[in-house]
Amino acid sequence: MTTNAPPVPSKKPFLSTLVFLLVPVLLLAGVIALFVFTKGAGLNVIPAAPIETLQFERTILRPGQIELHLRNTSPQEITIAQININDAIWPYTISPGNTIARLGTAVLKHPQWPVRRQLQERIADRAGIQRTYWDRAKQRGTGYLRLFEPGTSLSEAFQRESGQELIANRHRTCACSGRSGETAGRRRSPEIVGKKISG
Amino acid sequence: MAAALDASRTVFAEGPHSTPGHAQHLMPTVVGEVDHAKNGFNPTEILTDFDPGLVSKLPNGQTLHEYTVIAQDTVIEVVPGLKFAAWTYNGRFPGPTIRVRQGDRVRIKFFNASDHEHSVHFHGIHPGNMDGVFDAASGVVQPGAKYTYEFDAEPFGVHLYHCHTTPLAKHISKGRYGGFIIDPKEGRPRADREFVMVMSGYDVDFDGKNDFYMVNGIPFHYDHDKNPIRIKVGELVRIYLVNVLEFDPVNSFHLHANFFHYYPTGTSLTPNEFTDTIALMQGQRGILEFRYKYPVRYMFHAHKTEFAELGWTGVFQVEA
Repeated sequence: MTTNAPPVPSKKPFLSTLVFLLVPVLLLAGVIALFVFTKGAGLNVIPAAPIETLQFERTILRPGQIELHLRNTSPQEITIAQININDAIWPYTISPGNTIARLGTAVLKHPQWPVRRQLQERIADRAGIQRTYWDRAKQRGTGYLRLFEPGTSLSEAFQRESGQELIANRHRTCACSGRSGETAGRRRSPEIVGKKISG
Repeated sequence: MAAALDASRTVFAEGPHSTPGHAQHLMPTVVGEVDHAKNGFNPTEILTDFDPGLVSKLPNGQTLHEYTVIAQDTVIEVVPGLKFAAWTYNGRFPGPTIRVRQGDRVRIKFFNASDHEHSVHFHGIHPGNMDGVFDAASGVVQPGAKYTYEFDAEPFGVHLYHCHTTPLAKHISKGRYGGFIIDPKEGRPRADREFVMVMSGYDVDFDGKNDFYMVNGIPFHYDHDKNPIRIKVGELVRIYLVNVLEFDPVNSFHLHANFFHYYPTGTSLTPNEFTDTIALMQGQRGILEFRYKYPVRYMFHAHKTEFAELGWTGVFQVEA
């Protein structure tokens, strides 16, 4: 069935259109006014202390050594004074130097990796503020990282202490992401240990 | 901290081995050494700088020891590269080791050169207005003001003094304390070597927890590769040990490969224990006496081993 009735033009009153046009503009103006009259809702407050962030971009675990690749992404330079691993102060070396410029990088090495279940790092800088990072996997309750001294039977020690399945898949994948890791993954897989990461 | 160790950025890799062989087992320590000259004190000197003060005789024949003690705000490099806004007596950590004999007169001219009110509270027997606790009349001193504490020294033993203004934990943890030794009237039997060791800690980020532990102000100072304490085989060594550690409930002292006679609070000339480890709560103190039978080097440290790995450790280098 068809009809020949002409289409009825829709009625859109000018006032209604104007309201729909002005509402968002007025809302935006209100937000701007609020921002201005509340002095930026606190954005103008200068922080009491600089926000310091040190990114751990890469961690390489070697037998007897941990190597941290650091980047300073905070607004000003950071100087590393001492390091704390699992509540102990350990010697370290850092290159090119202790002071990392803004957006600069440095490589920090511990000459020995302590045998602990938890991986915790604290880095105290000259401002006397300690920074802490935890193994993210540990925080999720999914795993932790370990490295034993050369000569230790890694798989046996790991299983004895943790009672966990020894797998290398996850970390072998990690190891394969780097050139030296490829070698490690192929030749030294028994030394690549870690609790199964399920998350 | 804005960063975490991300497993996806963690690489397990083969060598090179950087463990320095088997010649030296790697032990926790700091990298480098603090600037003692800039700090204004050196823990090696603090070990033995027992301070008799300015000694004179009173008309009644009593020996008088006069001291000037200044409360200062002092920035101290506590470990290499890390500075701490300390509150000290006479700019050092711990304050001067006051040493007198029982029955002597002690006169402390105290000046408060800091921005907060402070006091000197002695452990010992003295009148209430010399106790440094409640108000100006009992020795609480406003910035820029002064007070003179004066009392007869008793009883003999190893004691301590510290600031007793509130908040007390902060005043003590920031450094206002020192050793106070009262010898018996006739003195103690002779020892070949005498050392004072004041145990405490640093809360460098002010979170109410200690980040470093030490004796005599600087963590790891007496470590084997830094400034071990040199003694000889057979020497009678006497240690006046004081625990002022804030925040942690118990501190301890452990001596390696040896045993010591222990005199709690030093108030008796007869030891009551022969041991190699003692525990002390804050304010507890005692005297240790020992001789080393064999040479080479031996650790001493807190046997709360976490404290040891955070700085409360040292070594006796025993020479034949």
